[in-house]
Formats: sequence, structure tokens, C-alpha cells
Amino acid sequence: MSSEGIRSLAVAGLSKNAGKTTVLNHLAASLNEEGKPYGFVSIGVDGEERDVWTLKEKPPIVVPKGSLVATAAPLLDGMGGGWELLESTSLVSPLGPVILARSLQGGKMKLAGVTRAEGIREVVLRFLQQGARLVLVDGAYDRKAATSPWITDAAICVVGANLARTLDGVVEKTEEVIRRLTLPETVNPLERLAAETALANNRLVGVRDGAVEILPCSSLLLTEQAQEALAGRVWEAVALPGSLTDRGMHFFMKQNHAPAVILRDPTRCFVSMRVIRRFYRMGGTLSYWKGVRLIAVAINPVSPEGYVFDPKEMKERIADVCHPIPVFDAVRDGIRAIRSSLSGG
Amino acid sequence: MWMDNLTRQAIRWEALWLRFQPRTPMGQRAKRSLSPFMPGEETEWQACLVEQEHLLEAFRRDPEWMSRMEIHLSKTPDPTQTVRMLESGEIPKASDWFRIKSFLWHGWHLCSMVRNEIPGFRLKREASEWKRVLSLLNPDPPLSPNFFLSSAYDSRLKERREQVEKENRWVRKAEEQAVLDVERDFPIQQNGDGEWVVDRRSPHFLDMKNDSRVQLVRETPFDGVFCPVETEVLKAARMRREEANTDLEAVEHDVFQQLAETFRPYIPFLRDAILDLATLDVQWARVKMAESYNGTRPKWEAESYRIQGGIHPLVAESLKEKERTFTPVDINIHRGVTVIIGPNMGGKTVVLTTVGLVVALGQFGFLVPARSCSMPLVSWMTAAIGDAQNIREGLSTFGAEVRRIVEAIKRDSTGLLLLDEPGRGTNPVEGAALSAAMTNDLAKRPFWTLQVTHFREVLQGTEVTVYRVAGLEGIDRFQDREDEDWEKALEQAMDYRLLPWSGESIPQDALVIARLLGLPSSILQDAWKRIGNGG
Repeated sequence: MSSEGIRSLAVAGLSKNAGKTTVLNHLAASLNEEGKPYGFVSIGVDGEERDVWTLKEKPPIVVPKGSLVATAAPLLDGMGGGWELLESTSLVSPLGPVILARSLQGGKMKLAGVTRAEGIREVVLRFLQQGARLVLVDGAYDRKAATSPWITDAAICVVGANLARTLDGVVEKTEEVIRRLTLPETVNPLERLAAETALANNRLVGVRDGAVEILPCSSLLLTEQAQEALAGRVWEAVALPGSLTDRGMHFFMKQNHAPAVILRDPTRCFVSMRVIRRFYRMGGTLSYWKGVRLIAVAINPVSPEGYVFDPKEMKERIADVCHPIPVFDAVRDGIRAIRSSLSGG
Repeated sequence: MWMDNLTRQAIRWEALWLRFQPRTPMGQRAKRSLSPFMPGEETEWQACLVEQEHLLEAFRRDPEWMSRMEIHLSKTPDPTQTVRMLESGEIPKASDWFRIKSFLWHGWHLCSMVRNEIPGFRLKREASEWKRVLSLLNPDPPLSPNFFLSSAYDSRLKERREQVEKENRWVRKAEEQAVLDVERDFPIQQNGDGEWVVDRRSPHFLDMKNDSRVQLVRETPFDGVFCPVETEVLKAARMRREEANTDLEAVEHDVFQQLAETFRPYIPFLRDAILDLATLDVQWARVKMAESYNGTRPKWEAESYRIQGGIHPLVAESLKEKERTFTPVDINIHRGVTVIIGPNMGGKTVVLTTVGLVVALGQFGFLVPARSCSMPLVSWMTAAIGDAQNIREGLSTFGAEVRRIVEAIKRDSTGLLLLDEPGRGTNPVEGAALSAAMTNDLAKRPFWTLQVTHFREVLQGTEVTVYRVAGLEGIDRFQDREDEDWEKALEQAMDYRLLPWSGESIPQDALVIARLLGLPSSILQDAWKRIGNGG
């Protein structure tokens, strides 16, 4: 992965108890065979006490010898002398200050203490300075920021059976999220400039006649202001500094001409696929200044609520809607299969 | 209290204080308890300032040295909690030792670097002592900021770790053998959790269920999950590993205890070291702030404040944003009363706040924003500046002002009183009389008063030093330009310099300024008549 420019990888669940930790542990085991130093950090505490697949108490991450971890100091104190404490960070959690450590023997470690995206950014940077080839970020499901392309270079999404009560429901929701997440990054230089300007000024920025124009409005939620700012002119593109919802998209759909809409990144997009499709039919487009590089989707057919989907069927159907993104089953597929998925083979 | 909140507000102290940011927790703590130098501490005060001059020279001489110092300061943790643990007989844990070691590592570098550049810098402990204590936590060369329980601490550690590793190998071997035995007979492969997930429809599912080497741990409608049954060999290996781990933990505990015993005699060193770094950090932060306004060292002078080229950095920045410049303040304030007169909008109040800020920075041991400065150390400074003060207490401008002057003249120690147009808040006749009488009284008191006034009565019959704002020049060229930006025109016409006054007539600029600001000429002509001048 490092040869493809991926230095940090987020593992994010599409729902609570999706099975992230299991995926992370299998990834760790798979990486161990490659014998390279990796960094491990978790964002947020999401309240999962039990592992989805084993239904045992949620396991700590099992890291190979030489791995780097970032965690709260008291958690390191409780793990014996098999750790070399490397450096303090500026991050302080209710559990204590966050420290970077290297595993001298390999073993279990609970990762906690980093609760904000800025913290992950700092830790990723420090891991890389310490020589990590790749940093794995365990992203709590409600910490969408972990997948932000501004925080990590790439992401793996975990689809758990508990995303919906039926397999049809799981597939439908997965398709919605994955398609939204993988909408294209704009390559148009004017549109990219507009997105950058929108963010720098916290204003809507329009593109017309080959030039960008900062508009006197910061959000589509301020409907009257936005209407006034956009009215009477045909905009080729509009970049937003913040998030976009169905309501915001309807606003554009009411304009005479559907523009190309640009968002900062997929974590800012909350528009349903139904509305996005309608918008595209009207001639509009939706793209990102910086997109998420989704390198794989992991599935977990077992729900902690007690129902299970056919693993083969789930994998096939999820693979259909995620194509060409590789899909693997962390529990059933062997380590070689996982590595093959990740390397695109 | 050296200066009260109203004085702080008047001179905009808090905004500048925010820019004074020590990098370490120790420095931040020292900042919170920082107090001004007081009369009698002139030698320490000058030593503190000279040290900052040396730091500033070192900054300029070697920017790379400065960046390395910055990095070490920003990474130095606070070991105070661990020192307290040692004092109370507790045994610090790994993260506590790591904190101590990081502190020693960065402190050693900082101490060495400062000593190399500024040999006379006041530090209680030498770099060699830092290194010696750091070495206690670094039994294996080379020195590093990392901490781990090296086998060099205790020969038993190596032995116990080898034992754990040996037992681990036995366990792994027994586990692998158990897995190989099963996977030889069935076409399956273990996952990362050490389990076999088998499709219930596969032909070997039932065979596995009946195989004594594996046990079914979970079942779903689609899969069965199997794990190896623990063999006697494996059970024994795991038990031996558990015992080896327990032995290792006991030795690790001994090592931590031994480390604590080794370190207790060094508690006085650690206390001094914490203070040294706090001092260095505070000095560093002082210089970083002074660097932003090109600060100079205030020198000590018993009887007068002499400020040349004084500026208020915050006012200067605001003006710069408006593409205007700050006219530096040149003033000598002798014991007694010094008065500033001049036109409205002539910057008199800015002079007061600038003097107040320069003096306060000086007393708190900072290089000051001036081309040169000499000053006494005094026991207090009070400013009565601005109309809004004490409004919360329900006092009028006049009442608030009188109360602050009363508080000041009650003091029998030396201080600096800054007064902005005393008496302006009441009727002109009584205001002028009161202002003149107060000035007369203040001139006999043993402290320094700097006062801005419009009342000529203040200048009569009292021994005061007087400055006047140079005032308006060439204003006539603006008078017919209706569309002119009057504020800018006024600023261009106003000479904000302070000039010594020696009895010449005081220019009456208020009506000229009113004209500039657009007051109708009929009103102005009427006003000129009333003061007996045809205009």
C-alpha cells in the first residue's frame, strides 16, 4: 500500500457494532506477515463493549512486535514491561495523556484517548516520523471524520449485518453510502479553485464566464440570502464551504439551471441517492474537492441482535453494488485472501 | 496589587499578556504567579533583563539554535506529579518514568544549549548534573528520550523474558501442531481469531462436529465455528507460560521499586530542575514577545521616567491595518506632576496608555516597546482613563474618577498615577478649580503623576512639567473639500509629537476640528464670537 502512496488507512463501520475491531485485528495479522512496522490508533469511544462476531467482551487490538500504538498512558501502564514509550503527544483525554509506544514483544493493547480528528492528524504525522510504513485508524462509526481524506489517505468500510434487518436493506443502504462516498473528485481547475476559495472564506463561491466569484452567503440554510446571492445569473458551478443535505439540493433544483456542485469532501455530503439521481437528470453534477480513496469493503454477516445472513450471498451482493471496489469477509476469508483484496488482485 | 483591573483594561494589558506564552506546563504555571519587580529589587530586575538581551542576541545570531530550543521547550513535559509520588513513597509506573525521562532529556539539551550560548544564564543546575540523572534511566547507551524496562536494570529481567519467550514458543508449537493435525484431515484454514468457520452445507461439517480434536463453539444457520480442543501438552505449556509471566511481572515490579529508591535522593535536583526550566521558559516567552515589538532594556533611574520612541504595540497594529502610523512617544516624567495639553483628537490619551504599558512591561521584567527607556521601580501604578470605568458600580464619570484619585493619594508608597482629564465630568468652573487644586496637591506628593488636561488653570501657580501636542498644521487646505475623509485629513494634519511647553499661548483647535468634522459654519461663527474671536 505504501507503494501506492497510502500512508494512513481508516477502518470505519457503516453502523454501530459493524465489526471494525475484528477487521482491524485481521488486518494487523495480515500485515504482520509482511514484517513491517505499522501504527495503530483509534478515534473516539463508541460504547461497543462486545465484539460483534465472537460476542465476547470487545477485544483489544492485537499488534505485531515492532508496531507503534497511540493510547492513553494508564492503558500502557497496565500492560507490563513489553512496551517502549517513545513520545508524548499534545493530546490529553479523561483517561490520561496520549503516548506513542512501540511493542517490544507483540501483544494486546487497548487503544483510547484520541477523540478528535485533529488528534488523529497529529498522531498519524508522529507515527510517520517514527518510521511507520502505514497507520491504521480504527474509526468509531459515529466518527465519520476518520474517513475524511484530510485525515487519512484511504479507507476500508465495514458493512455489518446490523445495518438493516434484511439483506436487501443492508445492500440498499450500503449502495447508497458507497456511491455517495465515491462520487468523483472534480478535476476542473476552476471548480477546484472555487472549492478552495469557499473553504478559505466560509462563503458560497460561484463559477461563471471563466471566473470564480465569492457570494455574500455562507450556507444554503440561509435560504433568502442564498436565493439573493444566486438569483438572476446562470452559474456553471457552485462550491459550498459546509455540508449539503436534500434540502440544499432541492434549492439548486429550483434554480433555472442545475450547476455543478462541489463539496469539500464526502464527509460533508448528506444528500440521498434518490435526490442526487434527480439532480443529475436535470443536468447538474455533484463532486468533491478531495474524494475518499475507498480501497476495500469488509463484510460481517453476523448481527449482535441474533440474526445472520448467508455469508456468500452477502459478499456477492455487496460486491455487486460496490464494484470495482474489492469486498472481503474478514472472518471467513484467509489472510492471503484479505491481502489479495487490498492489493487489488 | 501592583495595578488593578481598571488600570489593566485602560492600558490593554490583558490583550498583550495573552501573547506572553511560555511553552511548558512549568512555564505556564510560573506565568500565572508572575509578579512585578518591586523597589529594592533593582539588581535582580536588571539581571533578568540583561539575560533577555543575551537571549535576543542569540536568537538573532543563530536562528537554527532558536528553533531547536523551541522544539525542546514545546516537548518538555511536567514531571511534578511523579516527583510528588516519589516524595510520598509511591512507586511510579512506566508512563511516570517516561515523563521524568522526557523531562530530563529535553532539559539536558536546553541546559546545554543555553550554557553554550549564554554562559552566565541563571540556572541552579548544570548540564552535567542533568546528564548524570538522565543516565539513571538510560542504562544502555546511547542516551535517548525513550523509556523501557531494559534488561540492564536487573539481570533477572533478561532471564525471565527469555523464559517467557521460550514458553511462548512451546505454546505456539503445541497450538500449531494441533491446527496442523486438524487441517491435514480437513480442507479448511484458520482465521485470524484462531477459529475455523465451516459452512454447514459442506461435507466435512458433520465430521468435524464428531472430531474430538475440535469443538463447536458457535453455530449460525449458515456456519459452525470450531476451535481446537486444548490438548494436555498445550494445557501444560500454557500453564508454564502463565507462571513465567507472573515471575516476569514480579521482577518488573522490583525494578520499578528499585528505580524509585535510586531516584529519591535526586528529588532536590528534580525540584531545582523544574524551577530552572520554568525560569528559562518564562524568559524565553518574554523575549519572544519583546521580539515582536523590537523591545529594549529599560534601565534603572531613581527620579524620572525617560521614554524615547515609546509605542503601544496594539495601537500601532490597529493603525497599521488602517495604513496609518503610530507617532512614537518621547517624554520625561519627573517626580511630581507632568501635564500634557493639546487639541482634541491629538493622541493625548494614547500617550497615557503607552506610558502605562511601557512602565508595566518594564516592572514585570520585560524588554519594553521603546527606542530607549529608563525608569524607577515603584510599588503601584493606577490609571484613571476613560469614561466607562466603574459604571457597573453606578458611579458617574466624575464620581469614579474622584474615587480612584482618592484611593491613589491615600497611599504612602511610591507609584505612578495616570490621569485622563480629571474634572472633565462635572461643570467647567468647578472641574477646572478641582483639577488645579488636585494638581497642586499631587505635585507635593512623593510619587509620579502624568496628567492630560484641557484646563489652563492647572498650569497656573503650580510646579509642573508641561508638554503640548504639536497640533494641527496646514489644516486650511482641507476646509473646502466636502467629500474628504475627515478622519484621514485630520490625521494627516495632526502632528502627534509631544513638545515641551514653555508658556506660549495654547492653540484653540477645538473649533477648527469641529469645522473639519462638518459642523455648520453658522454655529462655528457663533462660537468664535462667544469666545471673543472673529475667526
